[in-house]
Amino acid sequence: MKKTILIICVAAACILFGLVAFIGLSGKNKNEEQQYRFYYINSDETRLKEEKYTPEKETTEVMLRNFSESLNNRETREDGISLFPDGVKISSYSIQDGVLNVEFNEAYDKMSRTRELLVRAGIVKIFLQVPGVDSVEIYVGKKPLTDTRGEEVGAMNNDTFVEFSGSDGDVYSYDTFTLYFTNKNGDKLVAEQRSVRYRRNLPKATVVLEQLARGPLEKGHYPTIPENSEVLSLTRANGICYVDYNSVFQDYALDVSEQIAVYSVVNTLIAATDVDKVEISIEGNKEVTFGQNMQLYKFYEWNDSCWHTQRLKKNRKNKTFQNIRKRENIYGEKADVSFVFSYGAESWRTGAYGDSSDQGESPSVKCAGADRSAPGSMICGEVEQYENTEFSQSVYLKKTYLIHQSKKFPIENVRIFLKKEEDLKPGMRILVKGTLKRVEGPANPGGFDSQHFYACRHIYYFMKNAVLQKKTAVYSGYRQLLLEIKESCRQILKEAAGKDAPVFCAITLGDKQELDPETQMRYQLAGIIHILAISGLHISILGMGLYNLLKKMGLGIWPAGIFSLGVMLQYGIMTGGSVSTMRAVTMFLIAMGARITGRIYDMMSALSVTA
Amino acid sequence: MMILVESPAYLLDSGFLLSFGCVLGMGLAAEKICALAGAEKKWTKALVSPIALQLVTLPVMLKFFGEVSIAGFILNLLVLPSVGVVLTGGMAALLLGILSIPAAKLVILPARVLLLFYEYLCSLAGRSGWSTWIGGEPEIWQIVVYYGFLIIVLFMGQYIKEQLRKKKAVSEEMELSEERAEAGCWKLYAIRITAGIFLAVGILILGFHPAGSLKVICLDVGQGDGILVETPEDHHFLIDGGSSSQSELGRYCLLPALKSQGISWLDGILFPIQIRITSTV
Repeated sequence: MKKTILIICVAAACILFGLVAFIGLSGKNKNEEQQYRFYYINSDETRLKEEKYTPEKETTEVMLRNFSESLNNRETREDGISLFPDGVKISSYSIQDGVLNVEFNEAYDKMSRTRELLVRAGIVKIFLQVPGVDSVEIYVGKKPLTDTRGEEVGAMNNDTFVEFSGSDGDVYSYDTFTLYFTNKNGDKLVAEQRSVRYRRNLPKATVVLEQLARGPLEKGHYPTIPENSEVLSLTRANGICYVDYNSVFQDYALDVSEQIAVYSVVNTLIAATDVDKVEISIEGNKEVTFGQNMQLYKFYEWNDSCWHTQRLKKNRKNKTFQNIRKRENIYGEKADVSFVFSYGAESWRTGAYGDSSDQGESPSVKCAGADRSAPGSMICGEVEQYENTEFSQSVYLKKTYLIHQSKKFPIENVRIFLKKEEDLKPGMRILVKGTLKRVEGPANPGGFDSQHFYACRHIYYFMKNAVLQKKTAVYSGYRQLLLEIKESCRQILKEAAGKDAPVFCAITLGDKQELDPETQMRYQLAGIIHILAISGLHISILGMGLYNLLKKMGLGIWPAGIFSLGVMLQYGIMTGGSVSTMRAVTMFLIAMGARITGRIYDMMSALSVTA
Repeated sequence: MMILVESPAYLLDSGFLLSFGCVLGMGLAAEKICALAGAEKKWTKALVSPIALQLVTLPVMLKFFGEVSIAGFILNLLVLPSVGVVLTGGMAALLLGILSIPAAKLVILPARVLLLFYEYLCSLAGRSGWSTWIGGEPEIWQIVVYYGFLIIVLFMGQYIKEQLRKKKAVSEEMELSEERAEAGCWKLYAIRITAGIFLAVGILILGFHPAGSLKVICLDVGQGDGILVETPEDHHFLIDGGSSSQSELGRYCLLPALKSQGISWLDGILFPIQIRITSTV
């Protein structure tokens, strides 16, 4: 087991280094064909560097000799090291049918895996410049070079590598998406992260569906939709995504329940884009019944119920790479392409993206356990309060900063909706990533003006589909205590009051979450909704009651007043501190103060102070 | 000062305005309206002060909710004095519940009975068709005019209150001639009647909606249509008003929209025959 992990790790490193090396190498030899290049390694041993090279004569024989001599002499420049490490030498070479066989001494095998990859890439790059050489095959001693699996690497040429011509970042985007595949039984969805490089002008929805059809790369994940199902059209409007599939989607059934197929598409789309609902049609026909009982003429929303619980594992990074390698096997790649995603170029469907015949232009795939899990903005802030609704966990952040290019910009408070429930405590500072959205005003006459409502609370932006990145361990013990007290109060009420518990929760704890909207509506119609909100009535009854009780118990005006004040303040904070509560508490504070100091309490002046 | 300094936006927040309006109504308006209505005894005062409170918060309620509960006037008379019992019942149950749940169950019982009673009241109010007045969202000028009228009425109340106090002081000293007393009474009656008229006019102005032109409001219902038509003859129609992308449209969109327009009666709801747009388009 340990050994496999080691191998996987090495492979992972190879992929990374190789990638870096090839991004560095790419795009040069096309426009300057007549110039020859020699390669050496940068001082960090992470990538190849190139320099101009002038052979004595431009013939095959002379150039081969020149190159191998230069290599064996370990020629280099000041800012780098030679391609070959000490001891490694080309012992002989021969050319046959355009295939150059390069034979190395045994020291070749002693090189580190990463160095070997750089060396191999350098060799291939160098010798392919020689006229008459179409591919390069490496031998160590008399044996052909093998990869980590013990398989022959075989002949290599430039096509072995997918080159990223897009060093200009404008044409391409690079994002990590969450795709939803299924487990072995085909009854649950499993999430898989995948980083994809794609042309910027492609909609993300198209990219993720394409990736979804390609199937999973991780072990234990199984495809949900047929590989050759094709998206005929894709439209987005009003937060709804309309997907039109070809009939393959329906006809060619996989071993998964129809629900899994539909929701893998729906969840993937919702996770990757900002749509809330998805409608699927098949060849323009909406009134299809998919499978036995999935009506397609319907808007599908995010579904959590068919989620597989154990989805994020620690060794996912390793697994991912292991599966890339497996995948290569399936595709029958001869070369050890551990640092090259050749399948990325070869298997992208041509039609969908136009000129994907050009390798450089085609979207390449990198499936790495990158930290980036969702596109969007990154913010950090302090948890003020949170509530768990039936759809998501909502957190109010204060002292919030927007993080842009590793700089912090202070912004107003933000209310975020977490995709997944997290164990949070008030006072924690958290780092989240998601899509920031302005709070919208009412769209219709008479509609609730949430823009104004949240503006009062200094909230101008919501963050939807937020993913927690980091959280601090420290939290406010005091506020957590208040929350716990509230929670235990709720439990007591639940047991004591039975079905009336939600009403009592609202009246005593100011918590309307569980209150049935129907009940609320009835109270509203009858004009007595105000008893369900904590207001002056509550505060004065409770506060004065407590004060009088304490005074009867023999406490003086001072201690009784101070004590009841303290309790009411805590109570006000615990119940959520709505504006009417705060008004009542402040006025109670003034009234108590007047009583303690023996002055007359004037309601109007107290009111204006509070306002 | 404290809340507004922290966040000035609260000045236009419904919760803020209602909460402060209530206290203003109780503190300032109640005694004047009481004097105006001639309520001197304790129980009549208890009857009249909620009215004062409602008069102060009326424009706010209409502005934000488009409706005012009439039933609430009467129900609150029963509910307000007793809600303390519910509250203390709940609180006592909370405290007792820490020690023993059965005891808490016992303590909370009277409160639960009261809640049952409230529920009954609510359903009673819901059954009678006149439980709410849907006045519609008033314009700013309507609100200003209304408050102007209200302030005049309050000054009248203040005047009556002073007159009554003076009369009391005088009557204690010596017997008044009947003529003068009668004249004074007439004067007071006249003021009361004009105050009543002022209030009525104020409320009418608040609920005034100019009709006579065709008005079409297209509601944003997400995926679907919702078109509200008001004809010059003051008939109201709703076209479609269904949505396949938003849930509970009626509660969150249609009802508030209707209320804000002061529409309590729809003459008809028209459903167009559904046209399927084929995806080839």
